[in-house]
Amino acid sequence: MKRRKDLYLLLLILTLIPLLVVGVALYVSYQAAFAQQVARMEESATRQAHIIEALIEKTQSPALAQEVLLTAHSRFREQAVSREMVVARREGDRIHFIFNTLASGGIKAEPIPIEGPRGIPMQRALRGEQGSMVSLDYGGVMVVAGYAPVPGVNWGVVVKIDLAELQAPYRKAAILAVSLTFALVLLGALMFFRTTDPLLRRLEESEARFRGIVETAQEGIWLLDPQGRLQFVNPQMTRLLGCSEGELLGRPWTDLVSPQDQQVAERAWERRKRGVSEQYDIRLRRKDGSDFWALLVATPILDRNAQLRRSVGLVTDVSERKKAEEQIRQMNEELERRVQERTAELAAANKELEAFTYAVAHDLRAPLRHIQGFSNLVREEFGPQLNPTAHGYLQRICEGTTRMGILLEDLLTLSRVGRQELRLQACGLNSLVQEVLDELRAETKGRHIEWKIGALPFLDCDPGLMKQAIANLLSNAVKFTRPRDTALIEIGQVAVNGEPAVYVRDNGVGFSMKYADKLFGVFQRLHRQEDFDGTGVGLATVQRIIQKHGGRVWATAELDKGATFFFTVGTLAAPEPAAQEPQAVLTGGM
Amino acid sequence: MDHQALEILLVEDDPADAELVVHALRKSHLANQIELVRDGEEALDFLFCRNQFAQRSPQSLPRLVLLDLKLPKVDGIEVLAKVKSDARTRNVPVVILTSSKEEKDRLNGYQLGANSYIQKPVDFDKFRETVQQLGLYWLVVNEPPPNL
Repeated sequence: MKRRKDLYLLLLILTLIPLLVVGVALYVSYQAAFAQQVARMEESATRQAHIIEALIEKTQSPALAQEVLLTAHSRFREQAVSREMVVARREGDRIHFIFNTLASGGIKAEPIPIEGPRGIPMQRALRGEQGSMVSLDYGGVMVVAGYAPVPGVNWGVVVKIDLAELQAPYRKAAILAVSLTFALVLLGALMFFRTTDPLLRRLEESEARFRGIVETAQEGIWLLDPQGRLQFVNPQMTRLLGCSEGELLGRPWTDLVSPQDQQVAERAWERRKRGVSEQYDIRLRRKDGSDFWALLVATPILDRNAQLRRSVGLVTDVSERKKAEEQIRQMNEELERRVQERTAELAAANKELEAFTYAVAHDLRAPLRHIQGFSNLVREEFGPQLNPTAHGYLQRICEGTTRMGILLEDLLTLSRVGRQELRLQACGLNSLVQEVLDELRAETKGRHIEWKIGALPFLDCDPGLMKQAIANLLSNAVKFTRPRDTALIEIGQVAVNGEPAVYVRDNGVGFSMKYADKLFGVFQRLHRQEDFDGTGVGLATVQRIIQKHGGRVWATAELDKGATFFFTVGTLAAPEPAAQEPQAVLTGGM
Repeated sequence: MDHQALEILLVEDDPADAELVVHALRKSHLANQIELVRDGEEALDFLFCRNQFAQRSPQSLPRLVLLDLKLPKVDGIEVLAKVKSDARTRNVPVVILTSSKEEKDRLNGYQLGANSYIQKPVDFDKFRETVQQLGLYWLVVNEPPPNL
């Protein structure tokens, strides 16, 4: 794991840095201390040389001077363990030590040769040189030494200290620093790992989990950079597009969109840049050049400045769904077409039927006129020769033809209603009702009828046809209330299931609801001819008119208690507020 | 054929209707001379003195033509168009007497110059009354054009 290696490297660097710093510091301070020491050695040697010189001068006896020196030095102890002053004289080619301060009571060292590996500082001092150096002393120990000759006599002075003693504190410091650094770095590393390891592990686990999801996802997933180039694709995406990961990465995503949908893609990308998430259908192109319908769920990720950082796309192949949708669309179209065909056929059949009704009714009028005419002529011209029975028969013929005439007229009206185009105009039903009432005046003469006329709506309708419907309903009400001493006929507006409806109520003979479904059929009659005349076409005509207006008509009734007819008109407007109260109650023989 | 007595040309294919019309007119003594033709072709032949009517004097035009619309061979509308577009017959009053109440027929009739359009009532009494009224109007009340 690369990240782990980086981590170890980091720890190494962390260790090296304090070591380096401490090392450099120790080295620099050691160097400074060393240089100072060397200078002090030389200075000290020179000073001692001059003291000895002065001593010899004053005493005029080197032996006495030697004694004074020994006495003086015996009363003084050097602080440094290995610091020592050595005085020696040259005798031939050998160096004879006069005294050294470390030895108690005089000289301890054996004479050494003037040319040799040991006692180099003294060798130099005896040669009359002055200076300092690091070298082996007479005992063969590495020392820092200052040396100087004593002028006038063949003596030399060397002041020296063991190099080891000089280095000792720095060695100690270095060891301490290194061990402390290691200890601290180790502790730090331990704590670092203890803290980060679970985090790292969790991160790794989480990454593995998400990687697993991304790699096994049924959706193709891509990540786009702010320029719309593919940064990442999952295996499913490569399968969907038939391209390898290498072929996809770095390409603009619009390369994957079918040429037909390039504009869609460009507009979508503009929305991504504005931070809009959405899902839409788009055709993508496979490597082999074939297109497929994809559902693309696109989510932009914006940075703090609302700039697009990347965009995530989830791609699902929806060819099957599209195919199904297309099939459904085609099926709907087909269905629609068939419905239209059937409707047209039905309309044609209806029209034909109405034309037939019209033709039959029309052509039957001529023979009817003939029957009527010639039976009248018989009565007029041969009346005196006929007996009463013959007159009775002729009367029946006349009555039959009269009824048939009415029937034919009603049928013609019905077929005219069917064939007629609606001529819609805004129209108040109250005025239509008034016109109908005027026309019913003759029919209601001598009868006691109480009219209750409520506020009726204004609506868009064919006034001629609507008047016909109202006339049929009102004349029915008039007809079937004939047995009542006081007929009560009411027309008004009421809401039925929230839909405004007009009703016509009477207190007439009513009918049994058993036969309600037959009410509006052509030639359907619920009463005997001798009780109530009629052709059974009136309500059929009403129904035809109301249906043509997009409404419906129905009735409720109770035998011998009266009937109420309701109708709605597709767009029944509300009555004007001022006309809410019943407009008029007309009583009396109209 | 006595050209002076000719008063009405009845163009009617239905013999019963024709008889009823004739009866009604006779009964009220409105028309002594009625010529009945049974189709449009015959009507045109009569008016323009062709074929079987070649012997007729072209000057002797009827004072009134009662024209049914539904006719065999040449229909009423066509007869009307021919009559009204010919200078010789243009002034003859033509009353359409038909069972059709169709808007199209009425419009056509008036546009082609029909002088009147009457629907045959189904009821015989009304029918008789109507025929008598129109006979009275056109033959007695109405002043004919000078050349008739």
